[in-house]
Amino acid sequence: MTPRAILQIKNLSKTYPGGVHALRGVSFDIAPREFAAIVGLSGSGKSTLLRCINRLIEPTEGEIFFDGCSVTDLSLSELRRLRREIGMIFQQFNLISRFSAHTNAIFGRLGVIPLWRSLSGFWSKEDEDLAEKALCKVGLGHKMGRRAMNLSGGEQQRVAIARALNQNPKLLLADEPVANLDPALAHSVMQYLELANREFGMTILCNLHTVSLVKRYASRVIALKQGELVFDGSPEAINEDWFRHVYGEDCHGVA
Amino acid sequence: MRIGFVMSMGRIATVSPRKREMARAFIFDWGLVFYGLLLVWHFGSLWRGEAAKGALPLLEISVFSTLLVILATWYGATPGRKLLGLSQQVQPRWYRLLWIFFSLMIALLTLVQGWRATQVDVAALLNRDGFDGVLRIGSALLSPQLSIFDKAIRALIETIYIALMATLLAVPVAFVVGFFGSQNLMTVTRWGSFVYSVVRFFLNLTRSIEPIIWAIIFSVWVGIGPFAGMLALALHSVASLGKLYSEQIESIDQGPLEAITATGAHSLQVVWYGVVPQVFLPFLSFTIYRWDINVRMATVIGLVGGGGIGTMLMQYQGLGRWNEVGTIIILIAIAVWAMDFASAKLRAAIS
Ligand SMILES: Nc1ncnc2c1ncn2[C@@H]1O[C@H](COP(=O)(O)OP(=O)(O)OP(=O)(O)O)[C@@H](O)[C@H]1O
Ligand SMILES: [Mg+2]
Repeated sequence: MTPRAILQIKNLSKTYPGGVHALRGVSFDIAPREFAAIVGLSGSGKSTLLRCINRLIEPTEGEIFFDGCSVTDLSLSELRRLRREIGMIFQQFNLISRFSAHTNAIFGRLGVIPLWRSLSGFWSKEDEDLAEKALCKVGLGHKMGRRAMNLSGGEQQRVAIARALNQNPKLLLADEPVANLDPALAHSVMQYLELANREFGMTILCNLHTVSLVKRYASRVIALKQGELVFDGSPEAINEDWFRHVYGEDCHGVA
Repeated sequence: MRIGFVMSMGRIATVSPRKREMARAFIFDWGLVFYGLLLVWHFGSLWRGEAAKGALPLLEISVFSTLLVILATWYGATPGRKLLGLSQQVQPRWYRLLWIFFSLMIALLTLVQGWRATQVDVAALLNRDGFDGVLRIGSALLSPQLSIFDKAIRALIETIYIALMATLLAVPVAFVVGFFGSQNLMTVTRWGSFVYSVVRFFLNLTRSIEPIIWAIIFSVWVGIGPFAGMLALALHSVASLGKLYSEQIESIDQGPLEAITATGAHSLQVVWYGVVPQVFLPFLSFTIYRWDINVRMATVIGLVGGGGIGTMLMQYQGLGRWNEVGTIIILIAIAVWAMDFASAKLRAAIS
């Protein structure tokens, strides 16, 4: 229990209606500016864990503290205020495909833009400039006006990162951000997450499938197995034994 | 999807599936036997020369069919049990023949009764005078009465405007109703589920009453005329568009919605940017199609006093002025064809 932890997860459990135990008593702390990777087999509960943190999914049991306040008992407006501080990036990019890259980047600040402005689409100069700056950060300044659906997968994910940068959260959740991209593109996207971590000081919690990416980018690795936390430590610890421990006896690592 | 699947598994696990299937088979058999006995009773009383005026012995037949089905189910297979695959063993020959005979009898009596109910009269169909009447109308249709052309065009325009107004009025209401009636957005909270059920109930209720009946109701309310027709169409359009809209909302990709929610956006923003862009074009397409349907319906509604070309048609038909009727029918056909064509082209263009 580091007192200065930005995120504390205590005994978190999630049981889906129908009885699937996706998480069983998971606890860990994340310090500010950490780049933590969450690994585990498909179905081990990684996505569920991330979605519990910003309450896209309601946890069944346990407590989550973000920046010192409890996430689990909040009113609707408090929840919205919390979500402004927590960005999210998805495997499927989840851009609004009919809108331009620029507008999608603006969407990062929906939580702070006045309601009438956002619904009418009369963005202020500031909204537009901040979004443009974020897009330039991810190297897409020249494709601002392009509709999201006409961008390649890697570019779409970079727009999603720009959206998150523009939101400027303290914590960034990334759910397998590169699983839909080919390996060469994976690095270009991961580098922008690294940028968010180093330059913008965001704490990052990132679900990853590829051990080489974990070793290259993460400062910490958390492993889930059937909803239980089975490892929490440095990526240095990754070796054949670790691999079998986390992924099961039949798996062979690339460690 | 995943939640629904898991929950339905749960439900099956609590109520034994076999019991449920048995109940279904029983209801099926009961309906069959009840209907069969009703037919037998009906033809029996005809046979005895009694007019089909007396009260139907529904209670007696119900009790009797219940007893028969219980007996048959106890003895062996029944059509319902066969249909649901609950009975595989071979039945005695006489028992099978009994059911076959019973089913054939039902089929035969149904045909006979259908013939009687619709008062099929081949002689009338082949009647010489009748033929002449049709030929008279037919030739009148071919020699339109152009003196009413102006008036008919005006009435037709009125019809198209009735349809347009009904559609325009229905769209915003259906839009809101569509959101409140969509399962994925509403059943997240308990209060939302309640609203969802209420909205769904009223949508189904309104839709199950034909627009022509609404037109009769509204013409009593606001008086015969285009206003009544427009209200009737608008109400029916709200119900059918509302259902189409909500089904479209239910089939959206949840991803963008999650992404917008995760930025801390207000739920109005979530709907506006997470849902609306995904459903906008389908909504537009449904709406154009609805306008097209409404033009046809406005014509029919005119027949019961909903204004426009339908009312005009009914007036000339009442006077027996067949040349004018012919003119109107031709104009309606052209208008409907043109709307159909235009709406198909428009919808193809946007999708
Ligand atoms: N909405 C849901 N309803 C019921 N069960 C669910 C739901 N979402 C996930 N699950 C179940 O919970 C478990 C954990 O799922 P989760 O998506 O968190 O795993 P994951 O580690 O992200 O897997 P992947 O690597 O495939 O994304 C799985 O067994 C899954 O089937
Ligand atoms: Mg996942």
